[in-house]
Amino acid sequence: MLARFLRVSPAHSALLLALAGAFVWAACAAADPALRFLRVRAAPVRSEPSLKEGSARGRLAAGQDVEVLETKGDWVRIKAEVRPAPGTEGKPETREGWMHATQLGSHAPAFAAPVRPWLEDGGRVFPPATDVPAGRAAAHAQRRKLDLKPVLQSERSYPSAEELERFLQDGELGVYRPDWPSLEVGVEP
Amino acid sequence: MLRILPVLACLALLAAAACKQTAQQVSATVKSYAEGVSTAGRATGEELGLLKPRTFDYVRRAWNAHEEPAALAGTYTFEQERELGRALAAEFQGRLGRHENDRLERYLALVAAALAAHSERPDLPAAVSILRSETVACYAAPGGYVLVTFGALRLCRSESELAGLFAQAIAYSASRRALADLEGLQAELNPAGGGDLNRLDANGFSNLLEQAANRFVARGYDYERLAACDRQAVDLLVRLGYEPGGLKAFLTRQQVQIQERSGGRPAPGLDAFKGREEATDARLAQLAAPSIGRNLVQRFRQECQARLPAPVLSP
Repeated sequence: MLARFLRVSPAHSALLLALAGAFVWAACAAADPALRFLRVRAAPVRSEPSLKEGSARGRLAAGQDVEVLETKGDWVRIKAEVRPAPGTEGKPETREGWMHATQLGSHAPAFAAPVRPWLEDGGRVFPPATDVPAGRAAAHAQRRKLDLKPVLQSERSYPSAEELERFLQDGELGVYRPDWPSLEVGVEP
Repeated sequence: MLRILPVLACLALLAAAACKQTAQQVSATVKSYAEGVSTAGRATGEELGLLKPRTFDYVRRAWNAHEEPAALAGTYTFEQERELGRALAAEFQGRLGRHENDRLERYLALVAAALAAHSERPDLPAAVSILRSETVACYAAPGGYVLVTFGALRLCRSESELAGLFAQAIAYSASRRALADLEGLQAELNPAGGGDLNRLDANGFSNLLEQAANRFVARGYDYERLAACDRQAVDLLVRLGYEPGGLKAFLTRQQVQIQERSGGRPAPGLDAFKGREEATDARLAQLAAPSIGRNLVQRFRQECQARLPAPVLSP
């Protein structure tokens, strides 16, 4: 019928149908909102779409890719496969739950370090600081008769993810701001 | 051929309607386009002064303001960046002295870490040191090192002002402008060798960092670079919910203090004082922001002001 209406052969009409289908599929794929990345250092995955109700089901670290399953107000239900750090043993772990929309972005953050031990397990580990400095900074300090220990001490003051969260909670900052305007379904247009 | 186009459009619509999920996605696409048009119209209205920016738009803009720090991204590893930062931080501490106070350092580290965690490089482990100097300054080094003086801490009146000061330092370090400054200085010191910091031998490395610390302590940072970090700093404040005017309030107070101390004359050691003053005016004009955040004055007083030692007055 289509071929008769368009005055083209059945093969051409089938081609037109396939083209139309591909067009619709491409338009939908381009707008696929299913994949997001954690854009902050670390954030808990919660059992409920709320900071007050439910509990935390583990934590994700910056750059983790998540699959968006559902959105509810400013909250997004996600599923993430947490892979073990390169060079370590262990199996990937699946985490599913709710995260605040502001913590997720459509682009992976730019990182300078391929391995970031201080972010492993959702940011629970401090950055490595050593009492026995090595490398160019140590050689420089020795040459210039500078003390490198205070700098290494300042590295140790980097807080754990839990400490940071308590600090934000205490100051009602970040996602803990009760009067924060609703971000509807996320921060990206 | 023209007859085919409406048929194609009808087929596309029919295919979309056949699948519920597809229809939802098409709807989301149309909605996002409509929102885009609406946002553009609103932005134009705001620029023309016809509309007042909504808080929601301001927050969303802050979250979407990406800066790609790609220019130097592949040049240095994190460890190389960190080694440069460590050495430069040691130079600053060697010149101005370090003040030790665990609880004060802990509080400052939390403010800096909160900002770094919401920056373009949330993996950057910020490290804060306090310098025993009454000069108002906050130095930043590659790899997330922030060094703040007694003078700067005394000038702050709230946590949002302190956060504004730190946000600028974090933006400078996270965007790799700190590395770019060192590369520029190296190119000046050794025009034939270029600015690649990885090619420096031990003597060249030490010489560069000594010269860099001399320059930053004596002359401060390049104003154009700082102005470029201003916008990022304000975005960081907004993302966290701090009062975005914190940085402007601090810079305004600093400018007034410089003017008072110099009695209107060029301050000693600042040859380009007039130029700096004009540059600061221009920066302040760019920092206008709606008052939408938290100042946290009480926490700042308890955690920072109460722990600062009394200033040692010079004769």
